[in-house]
Amino acid sequence: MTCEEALGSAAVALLGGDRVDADVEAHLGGCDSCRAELAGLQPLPGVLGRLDPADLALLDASAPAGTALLDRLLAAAARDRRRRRAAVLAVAAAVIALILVPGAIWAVSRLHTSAAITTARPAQISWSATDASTGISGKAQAWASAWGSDLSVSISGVRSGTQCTIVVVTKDGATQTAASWKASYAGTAQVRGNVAAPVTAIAGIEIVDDTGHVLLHL
Amino acid sequence: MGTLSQLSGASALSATDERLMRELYTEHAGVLLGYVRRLLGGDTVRAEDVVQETLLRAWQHPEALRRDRPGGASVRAWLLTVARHLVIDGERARKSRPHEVAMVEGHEPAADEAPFEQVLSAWEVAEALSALSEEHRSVIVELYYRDRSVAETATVLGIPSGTVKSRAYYALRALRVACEERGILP
Repeated sequence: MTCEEALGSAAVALLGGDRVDADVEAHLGGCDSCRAELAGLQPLPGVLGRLDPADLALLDASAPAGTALLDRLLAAAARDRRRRRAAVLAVAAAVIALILVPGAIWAVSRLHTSAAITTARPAQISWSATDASTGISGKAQAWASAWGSDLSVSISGVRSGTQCTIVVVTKDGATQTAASWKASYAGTAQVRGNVAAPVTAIAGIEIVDDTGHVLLHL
Repeated sequence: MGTLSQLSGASALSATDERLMRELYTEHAGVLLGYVRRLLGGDTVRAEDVVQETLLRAWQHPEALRRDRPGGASVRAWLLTVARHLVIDGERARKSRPHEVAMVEGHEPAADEAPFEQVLSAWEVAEALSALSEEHRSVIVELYYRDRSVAETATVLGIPSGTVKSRAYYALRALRVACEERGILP
């Protein structure tokens, strides 16, 4: 008798609550490993006894034919999927918000900046000119202010000590004085001034000396 | 906009999701219902709630359904364990809310109803049995619970007598391991 045969017969006897056959007992008497193996299996019939044979049928019960519970399950699963999707979407939205909000703030701040520029200088106009005969050259910029136009004029080549005036010529032919200054020794100046005329009404700018002579047309 | 239309759609379940849930129901709902109802003293309403939660959890954790997991514990055993824990948690919650217990309708504990602990103990054995392969389980059922002889078992299962014997041995070995895993045996 092999060990496996002996253990097989012993297992059957254990499950049936019977004594082992004489030849099995003889094998076990001479085989320590089989005896040890069988000792480990001894408690199992007692464990199996906790389960009522009548309840055993429950292990083979098939699903109820009615679909009510199945319908509930599918509905619960669908709710679960929607919750998960919503959660995923919420996370995605949060991530997008994290990315977009600083961008939006940046964009809005950019808008504010450009709006400020636009408000201050809705139609900035630049001029520059050089009078070849006198050597006087200048640049001018004009942009809208709350009450008309602001001007920035830089000029060079004017004879030192010359009293200069910035005269704005509007499109209707009128003139307005924006600022006046006395030319420095170097003959250069950076002058700011303002006139009531809107930027869009300005036709040109003249730099005039105190005798009324036009030093430069811009 | 596919996500949005799916969200607002009537069914949020993909075909795969629905098939998995239907399979879980067909394979396990009957067994789970029987046992949970037994454990809850015949309360079908609560039993269905527990079974629903159990199968939903299985469906949410498909990795638990893989039969080739290490340890070899079957899906059925895993489900029974989950259901048992849900029942135990539910019982604890009910005991901590005695007023609710009194208000539950249609569940008057019968005088001959087995104590909760005893049913739990039986349940553990059922779990251990369900963790065995069908070959092992069937030989134990025939020899022990149906008290059949080796010859009868051989006929019922359609296998030679020698196979019944060796299978009985290997079945007990597997049962021993399953009992140890569940703390039924040291």
